[in-house]
Amino acid sequence: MTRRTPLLAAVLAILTVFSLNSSAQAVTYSAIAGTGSSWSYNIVRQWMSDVNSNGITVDYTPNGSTQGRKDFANYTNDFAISEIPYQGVDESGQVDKSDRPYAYLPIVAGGTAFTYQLKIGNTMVRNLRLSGETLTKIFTNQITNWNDPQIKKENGGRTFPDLAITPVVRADGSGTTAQFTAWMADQYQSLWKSYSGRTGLTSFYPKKGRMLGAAGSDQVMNQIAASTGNGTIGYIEYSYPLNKTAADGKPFPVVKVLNKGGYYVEPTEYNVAVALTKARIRTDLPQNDPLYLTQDLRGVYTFNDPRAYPISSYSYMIIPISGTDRTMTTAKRQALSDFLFYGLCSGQSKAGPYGYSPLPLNLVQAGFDQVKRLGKADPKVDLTNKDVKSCGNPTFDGKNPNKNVLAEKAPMPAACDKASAAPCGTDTGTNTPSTDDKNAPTTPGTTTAPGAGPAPVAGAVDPETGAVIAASTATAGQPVSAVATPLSSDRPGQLLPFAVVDAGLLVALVTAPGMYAAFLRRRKGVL
Amino acid sequence: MRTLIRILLACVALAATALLGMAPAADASGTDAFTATKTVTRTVDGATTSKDVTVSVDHTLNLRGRERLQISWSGAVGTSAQATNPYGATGLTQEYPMVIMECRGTPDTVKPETCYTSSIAQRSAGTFDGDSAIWRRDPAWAGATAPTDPCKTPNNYTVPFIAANGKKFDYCTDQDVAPESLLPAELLGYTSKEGTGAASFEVRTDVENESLGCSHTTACSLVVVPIMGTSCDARKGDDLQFAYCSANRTYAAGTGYGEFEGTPAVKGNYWWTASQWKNRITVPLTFALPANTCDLLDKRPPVGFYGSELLAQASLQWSPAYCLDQKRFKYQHNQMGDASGFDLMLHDQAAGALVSSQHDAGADQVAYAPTAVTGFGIGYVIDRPAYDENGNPQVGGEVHSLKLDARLLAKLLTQSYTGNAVGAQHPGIESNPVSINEDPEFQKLNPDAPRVGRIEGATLLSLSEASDTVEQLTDYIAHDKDAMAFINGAKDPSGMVVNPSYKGYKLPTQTWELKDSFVGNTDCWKANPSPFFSLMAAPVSRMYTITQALIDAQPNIQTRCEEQVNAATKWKLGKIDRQGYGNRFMLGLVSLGDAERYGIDVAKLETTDGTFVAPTHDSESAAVALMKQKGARQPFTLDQAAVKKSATAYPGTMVVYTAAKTCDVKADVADHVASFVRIATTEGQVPGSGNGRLPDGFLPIVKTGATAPLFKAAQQTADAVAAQKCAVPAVTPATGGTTTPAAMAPAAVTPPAASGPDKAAATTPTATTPVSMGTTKAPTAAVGFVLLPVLFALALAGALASVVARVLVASRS
Repeated sequence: MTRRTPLLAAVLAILTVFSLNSSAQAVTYSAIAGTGSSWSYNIVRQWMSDVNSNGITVDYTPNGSTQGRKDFANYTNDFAISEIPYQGVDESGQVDKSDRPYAYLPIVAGGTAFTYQLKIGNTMVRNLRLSGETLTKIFTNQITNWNDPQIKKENGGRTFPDLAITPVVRADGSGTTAQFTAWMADQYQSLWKSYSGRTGLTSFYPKKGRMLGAAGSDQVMNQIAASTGNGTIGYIEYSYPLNKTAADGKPFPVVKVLNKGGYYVEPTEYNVAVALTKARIRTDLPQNDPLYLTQDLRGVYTFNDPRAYPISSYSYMIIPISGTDRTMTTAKRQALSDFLFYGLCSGQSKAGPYGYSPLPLNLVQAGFDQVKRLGKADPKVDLTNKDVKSCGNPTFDGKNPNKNVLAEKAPMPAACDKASAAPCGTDTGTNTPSTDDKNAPTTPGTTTAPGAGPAPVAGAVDPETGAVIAASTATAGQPVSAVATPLSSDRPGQLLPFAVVDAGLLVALVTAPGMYAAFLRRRKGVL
Repeated sequence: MRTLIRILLACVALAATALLGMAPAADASGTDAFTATKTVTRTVDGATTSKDVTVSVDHTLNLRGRERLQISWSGAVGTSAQATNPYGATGLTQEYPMVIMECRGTPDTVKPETCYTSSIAQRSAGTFDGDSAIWRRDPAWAGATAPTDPCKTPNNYTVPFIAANGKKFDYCTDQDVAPESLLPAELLGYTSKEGTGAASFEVRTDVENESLGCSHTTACSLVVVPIMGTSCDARKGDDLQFAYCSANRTYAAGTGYGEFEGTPAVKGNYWWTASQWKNRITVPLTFALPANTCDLLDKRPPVGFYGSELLAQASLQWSPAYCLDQKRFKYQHNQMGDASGFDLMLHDQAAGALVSSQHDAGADQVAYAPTAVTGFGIGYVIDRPAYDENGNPQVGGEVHSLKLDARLLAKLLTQSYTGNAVGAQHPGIESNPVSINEDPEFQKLNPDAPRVGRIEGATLLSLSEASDTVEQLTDYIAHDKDAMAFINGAKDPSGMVVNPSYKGYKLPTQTWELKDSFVGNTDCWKANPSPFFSLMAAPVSRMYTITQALIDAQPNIQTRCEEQVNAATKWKLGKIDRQGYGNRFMLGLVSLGDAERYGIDVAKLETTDGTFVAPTHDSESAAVALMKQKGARQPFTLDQAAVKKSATAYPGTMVVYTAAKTCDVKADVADHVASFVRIATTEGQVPGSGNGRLPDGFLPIVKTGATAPLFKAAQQTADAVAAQKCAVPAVTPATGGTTTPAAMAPAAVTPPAASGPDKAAATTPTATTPVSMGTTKAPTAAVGFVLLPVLFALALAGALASVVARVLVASRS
């Protein structure tokens, strides 16, 4: 018996070498394509780039939320991103619904910022503060000049130039518009109604007077940043002004918006996280309800925490959940679910640097439950270990999923941000909290974001698992490392064992013929 | 003797291991082009007409997803009723098109059922009465009998599609089609009156088109069917039916672009009839081994480098070489503007910044390590005009060579072309050309390009964000006397003047500002008083968006101003339409990496008067040779004045640096950055498409030649970052040669000893030269990467052991 082992081993050695190379991927991916929101595009684009190294190809066209929802319903994309759910019927009476079975899941949070270009002489104003009412009046043509007394009053009596205000609004069907108008409709109903004639939100901004329209967030930013943009103000996700350099080499400023806590605040990842602790996410509905997980932001608008940024919201992905969806395949569902696994987990860690805010644990968990529906639609989709426990998310507290770590770390606003105080002289749009707190993080994510910070410190939040390591004790002996189904046969961890086995077998392969020949010779006694 | 056999066996085993661990090494080297000539025929009632069609494909081996093949042909029948969009169903109405498809199978096994089309229309024919069911009259079917329709629709035939997994899609309704229908697939190319034509075709692997399923293990082919018309037998059917199946073209060769509906028998629809399918020219394709990819569940936190998009394609290939090695770290490149990335690095948010020029570090000590040599290009997609000025049909095809000088770029960027009638009302530039197409300066350089003015030719799609790329592009313009004279107000020889909003604009600049305030004079523009020229330029924040726009020929021009019915906003602005095939003209600023990856043509730029330089390794080397370092561990600068004097240097050559702090950075971060620089400048500079390799569009940085100073500088910075000495930087002259790649080689490089039964030579050279690292590692497989040296050593030990065993056995016997 022992004599034959080397031969067998030799054969095995060859097979092993073969198998190592032939099965490059146990999980196969097919390219997926999405369309929709430009609000969340800046971070989604980076996630796309990141998962490329995992073999996942994602295409995305930021053609606006409205078009994204339409494309999804028409089966011309694999997923859509939208700030608002299907509305049933849109403002021009067109159908806005999907017969293609779908589920919503939140993918990232952020603040709808108001960026502007306002110069005094040649210097850009960078510390403008406005109340919600003033902003609403600006976007409903009630306040039309920068020297308006109401603006002056809110800025500690500072007089701004006699210059017409030019609001820049989205010309295409936009989720950013929907979020902004939803807030106006809820908070400043009569102003909004008398301007727009409607009581609720709209995706198509009713442009009147001096307003300029632009398609897509990039073009809104272009209009405001243009040399001709003096006097303009527009609504846009915070990441756009943050990454846009003005002529003086600094990023574009954003308006500090007055919250119900009496402070003027900027949509940093912290202030957004604080505000969204009051978002009511429809987890009360059954999972198969079309509105499951959609957001009710009324609590956000009125939250009286001094740090809360009132126009904070989530962006949603719309995914196809039918097992018979005609454009979906196992490989596409695998790509979509793994893309989402990345986005919901590690991808959140760079939300801050890009001008967004990470999702709290409860929403990540709810998101995963939605991703599981892709697995339910197609049992061949491998979701093993791709859950909240393998996640690196800076806002996690494993012990209390409803707690937002980031919101707790959020520094209090500086005294000069108080409504009654003279305005702070510091610049906005720098992605830096305006605070007097010496211990506050000076830049977003410094102490929290493992993906952005190259060297996560061991602390309250485990950078790799987002503190869920602690929670793993509660998962009834499900060790995190027990990987049942390998994602890829040559996962790094497997290299060494295979190398050792391989090497051993190769030794056998080389020595076996000699041994065998010797054995034969010994038996026969002759050469 | 026996010893020798054993040695041989060991060698064979080693060779086998080595071979299996390596990816196919056949790099695209020009030998994988394809050309074939075939006599294609149509037989109508016994009379045969024939053509000798030659089809050439520029490359066919080791293809990757979305790679573009350049296909050209001659000897074919000229196309008529040309369509604006030859993709999908709209291309079918043309007469005598060249049907180009990707099909699963080898030339021996392809069949219409394994050819992918993007919708039902391309594989289906239906008639009302059966008289025009011409496929039934084709005598070439086996047994001269047309197959029956799988859809069981009367007077209809549909070619089913068989997916790679064996699943059959009948294509009878839109519920029964393959799931991949988002990307255009087949192409119905246009043949000139002279019988020639050309098209670029994007191939798909199983990643992009799972149902088609092409991969390194599943053979696929490019199938080209020159439409001759379906053969037709008078004895089958009555006179009316014969008239249908024997018909020729309705329109004259060369006509097109309108509501044409060609004669059925010679349209694209019937590529699958037996007589037409027989005429196919089948080009075998091979696909590259997919690279090993990072594990999604890898819990190591990524080490984030933030900045330049120029490095995107290299980062994509590099990152698996890090993540697949447990001894390394998880490299991640987060793309954003150079300045934003630099700021994150300064604030310890990023391990390193990826930038292309010196940025203000304030009080921090920052060192720059050259990490890759690449650059920008002026990408374009231009179709040759289908007609000349007098309306006569022309050869058509795509323009693959374009020359631009600095003044033309200045004209485009300063928005000095009027674009259309609205823009022509801009005071001061009323008599300027509508677009570059009408500009005599451009026409003289590019006699092939279309000369009719159009808004797409009035702008260069560029970046809205601050970027080192924009800075270098504008620095190139700034060093051109004619271009600056134009910007400063001088008329060009044809009398064109600069848009007054940009007169005297200071260059170079990191951000190209949108300065024009002109608003159109029509009702629509009065209702939408946005600056017209800013909307025409419509720059974007990501270079990749420009690449995508060029691939899709979808300009980003936002000046479409239209009246809307029943809408709250009556007049609305929007993006102009995607361009029709055969009529495309678009220019955009792209990275050389993207241009190579997606097959985007890049213009030659003028250096000395009348000399135009394309981005090649030679021209990039020449530019690198002109670069001067500002000081130890600082960036190199390329003086565009020197480029202007050189007839060989490409002006868009750029170095991407890893910038990191040399003081107060935590040790592990510093080590990661240093090892990244060392790995990137050694094994990361070995050209190839595998993991860890340097993709096309990048010039390798090596120890010798023009890039030697870059290599040396990189190692110095790596050392400085690793050392983290916060002392005031002493101005020590560069001390090269002492590069100790400590963190570089995690897998112990055990050089193979002489293959003999003697004691393994223990004289391992300790000073491994970094440059040779790449060659010792497998291009794609990280398995081989670790295993090869280990196995090599072990195999030798094995050989040794067998000798020992033999001695032992011998001594016992």
